[in-house]
Amino acid sequence: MMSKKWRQLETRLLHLLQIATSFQRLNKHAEEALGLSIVQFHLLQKLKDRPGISSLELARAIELHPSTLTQSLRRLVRKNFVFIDKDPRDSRRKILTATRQGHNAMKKFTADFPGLNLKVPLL
Amino acid sequence: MPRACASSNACWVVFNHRVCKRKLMKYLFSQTGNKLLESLTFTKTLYAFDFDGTLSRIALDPDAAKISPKTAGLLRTLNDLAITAVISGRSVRDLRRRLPFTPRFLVGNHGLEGLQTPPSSLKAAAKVCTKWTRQLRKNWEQVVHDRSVIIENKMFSLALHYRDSRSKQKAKRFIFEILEELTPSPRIILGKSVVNLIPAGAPHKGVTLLELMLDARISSALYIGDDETDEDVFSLPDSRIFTIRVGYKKKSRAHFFLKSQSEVPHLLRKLVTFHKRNRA
Repeated sequence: MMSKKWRQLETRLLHLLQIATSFQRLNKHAEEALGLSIVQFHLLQKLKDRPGISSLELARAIELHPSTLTQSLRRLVRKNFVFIDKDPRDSRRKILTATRQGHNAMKKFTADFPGLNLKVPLL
Repeated sequence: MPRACASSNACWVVFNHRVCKRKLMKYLFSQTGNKLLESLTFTKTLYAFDFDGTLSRIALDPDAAKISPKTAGLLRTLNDLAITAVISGRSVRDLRRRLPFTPRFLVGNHGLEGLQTPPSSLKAAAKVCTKWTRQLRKNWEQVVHDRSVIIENKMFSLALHYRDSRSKQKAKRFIFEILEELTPSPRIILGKSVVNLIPAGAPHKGVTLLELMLDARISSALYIGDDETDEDVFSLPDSRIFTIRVGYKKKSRAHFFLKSQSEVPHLLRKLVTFHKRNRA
């Protein structure tokens, strides 16, 4: 028979799972509606504050695993929101910059997000 | 024997089985340079400029150097849109005379006449410079036979100019000969046909730029210079600072280069346009 403690833990885990799923849906919904997911917006914002930051520094700044970051960055580059090139001072290092399109997308996101019609079941 | 590759942007030097990859500067108006310039305008950035050879053309007579009306106008517009600084080897008094307006930060004497230099340090530097001038004048005629070599006392540092000299190498040798006798020993910074003498312990342009960033609470900076004195900024190991050298130099630590001083107004125009576009 399952103890009371186990049942409490299970409920908490279930809640966490629900939050994660809701966040994923919200992210997807925001990307469809505004062209940027929340994670991508956060990345772009960091890039705006620190132009020319390296991917490693960016990963550290937003506490994201470098491989997860690479995937998100690839999407942003495909959308022309981020530009990546070699650092002129050290070719082993890559520098990242937000582009004009990325800047405009961020502006649109900031303006429209509060009014975004969320059809996501939140907890 | 070391060998180097003819790659467009990188130079591989192989020596004693060790490979050292030294990157060479990129042209500022390349795709990377343009993108970086634009992204710098999205955030609060400090734009810092050297004066001689950057904002003004190098003049034969240091006193004749002046900023062109076009450059001055663009710099003034940029100053209205963002935070600008002029960090020069000239004294602040001299800079004020040459600039038609006062930028947010004006730093003279290679950073000594800056923000947080205590008056006691300035007083000590002025005292040292007076002592050096006296020592130099004493032996000047015997050692420096070249009359075109001139001493410029900038109050807190000295500059020995030999631009007008017919034999620059010879003039430089004479200057170094006479400098050996100086007490206290100066910090020597070589410039374009000029030897700068700075009191030991004085801050350099790099330290000054970091101080300015701290003072203005700015997280990124763009520095444009042309001289050896600017290498102190170019070699700062700070990824928040991007640097541009006016004139290409293989050994420079700057990120980007401009082909000549005549491209500086173009850079200013670009920055102004990007800032105005952000406001639209």
